[in-house]
Amino acid sequence: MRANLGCAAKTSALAIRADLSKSLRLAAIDVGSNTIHLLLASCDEGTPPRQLFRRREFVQLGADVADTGRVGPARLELAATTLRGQVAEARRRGAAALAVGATQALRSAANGREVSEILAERAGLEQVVVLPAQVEAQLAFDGATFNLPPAQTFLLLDIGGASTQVAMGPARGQCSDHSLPIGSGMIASLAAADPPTSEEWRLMERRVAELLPDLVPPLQGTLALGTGGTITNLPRMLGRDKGAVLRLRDVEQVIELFRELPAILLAERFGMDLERVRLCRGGVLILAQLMDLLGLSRVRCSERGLRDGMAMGLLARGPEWWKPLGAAGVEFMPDRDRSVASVSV
Amino acid sequence: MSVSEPLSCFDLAEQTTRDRSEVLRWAAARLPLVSDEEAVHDTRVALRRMRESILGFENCVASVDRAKARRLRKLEAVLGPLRDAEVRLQLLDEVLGPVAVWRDRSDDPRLARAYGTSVIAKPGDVTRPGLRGLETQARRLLADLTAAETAAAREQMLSGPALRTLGKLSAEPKIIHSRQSSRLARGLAQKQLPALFRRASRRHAGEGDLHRRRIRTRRLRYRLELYGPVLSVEHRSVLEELRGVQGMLGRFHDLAVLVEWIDSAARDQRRELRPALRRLTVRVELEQESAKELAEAELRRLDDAAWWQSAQLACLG
Repeated sequence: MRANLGCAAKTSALAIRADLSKSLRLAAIDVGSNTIHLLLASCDEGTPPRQLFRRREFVQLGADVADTGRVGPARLELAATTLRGQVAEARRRGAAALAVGATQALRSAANGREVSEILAERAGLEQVVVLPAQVEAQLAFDGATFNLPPAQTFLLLDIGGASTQVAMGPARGQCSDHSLPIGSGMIASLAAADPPTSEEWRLMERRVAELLPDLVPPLQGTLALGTGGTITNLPRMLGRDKGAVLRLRDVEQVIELFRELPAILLAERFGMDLERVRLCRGGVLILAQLMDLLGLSRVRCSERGLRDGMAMGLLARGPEWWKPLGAAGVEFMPDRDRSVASVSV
Repeated sequence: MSVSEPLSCFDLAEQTTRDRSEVLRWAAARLPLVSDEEAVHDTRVALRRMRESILGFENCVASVDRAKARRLRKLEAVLGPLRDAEVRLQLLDEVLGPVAVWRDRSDDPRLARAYGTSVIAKPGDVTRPGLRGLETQARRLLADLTAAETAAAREQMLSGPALRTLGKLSAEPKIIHSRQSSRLARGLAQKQLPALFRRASRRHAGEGDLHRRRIRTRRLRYRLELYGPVLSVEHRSVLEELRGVQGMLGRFHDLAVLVEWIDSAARDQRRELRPALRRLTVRVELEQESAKELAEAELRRLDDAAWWQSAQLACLG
């Protein structure tokens, strides 16, 4: 299997590796359940990727999959156009190589493989890799913990649109991970009113409680990091800087805001995308439950995550960027029926 | 089908009100006893039965005592919050388990070995029984709030005029001789019961259906008990069936009230406790749903089998 190489498609992985002495512009695009998100970063060996440019568009592949189990033609068209635009943007801005990976929406869609092939073809890529959950978790963990002390154990919560990864391990090392079948998009879609009615909130809360398995708090001293669209947007809603530490009461404070105010007002007040505000309603409910069930008194927001891990993987492993360190032998086919409890790398 | 002796309205009213008045006095005497968990419930039931006997024999009761029915109802409402809190305490124990069943051992190295680095409990793992996260604290909070409400309601009941009123209302109403009271009580039952059976069997569209049927089933049951001595013996099995349905409807209602109460109680609590309170609410809701399904299935069974009509026939012949 080969990596997705864009304007530098002909550039071999060897050439990339040979060029480690100087910074490379690499692009990572994550085809998520809520968004398609491009990161263009300057990458050097031994340092975390330096973000140069980001572009995010709400395509919400996960909405189709939740409704029908498949990605419909209209959504596919939108995704293809968006991805093509982002690939072109990355190329225009000088990306030497691209890593494009899809997450839970395509993992669970009945036509996920077909969609990934169409997306690759329409964007002029060799492949859009449908990332297995454990690979996604490891890449996000790599991205979030790259510049953190290696002796320290971290727990990473990555709340996506249709799945949530809970990964734990030493910084930069191999993590144990669990993919929980719950995401911000699937929860937020249960509410139609704005702000949601109390019945809708109850419905969302109930769905979250039903979908979260029995969780065991990590050992004392484990530091928790959070990433994903919901978590990275919380600091601004609380008037804090990026990378802030969140406590459970902070998350509940945001939930109060969501209960009281319509999305349009919140979007204006905090300078957020309207769609992101709507999705965050589901995400914060998941985060609050995870923090309580895992006994996490605080979670540090990480601006780094999956896309940084993908860029680092591209730098370190070239075409095989999606093979995380130490994860030899993982199966790279979407495994739709995997039970949560049995997953481990 | 055997029918009991032909009692006049006067005889039955006198006998019933005398018995019920005595039951009410006994229940009222138990009311101040904190340790008597059923005293409030028994008093409310006794109040309802007394009221039913006044309403059922309205034309046999002296006009001065007829006004008692409304006062009995008011008094029953005064005892409502106390009984609600008692029921809530029982339901919390039943649905959410007793408080403090779990001790945090997440830093126990033996457990760490068992779990490895996993945060998700595997089948067969020694998972924590009962309450998770801050549920223990949330659960205790609910118990504390309920206990405080119980104490306040009890205090209000004991210090207010309720007990004195209860003493007055438990006196036997005066049954008067009249043309109506000399008629057969069975005739009165035959006049009143069909409408009550019809109302109890009526289905309603929407959310309030179970609530309305709960009230009407209860009304029917109390009236059947009132006229029991002049009904056929088959009325006892009808009463049994009604008690069963009423129990199911009552449980659904109590759980619905509990969900609302947790919801409102959660609003004023520490934010950290809210996720746990939400999970506890979900657990009660699930219980409420299964209670609803049971009650609906039971009503459907009775409706489909035209039980109400045959029960009426069995009681009245």
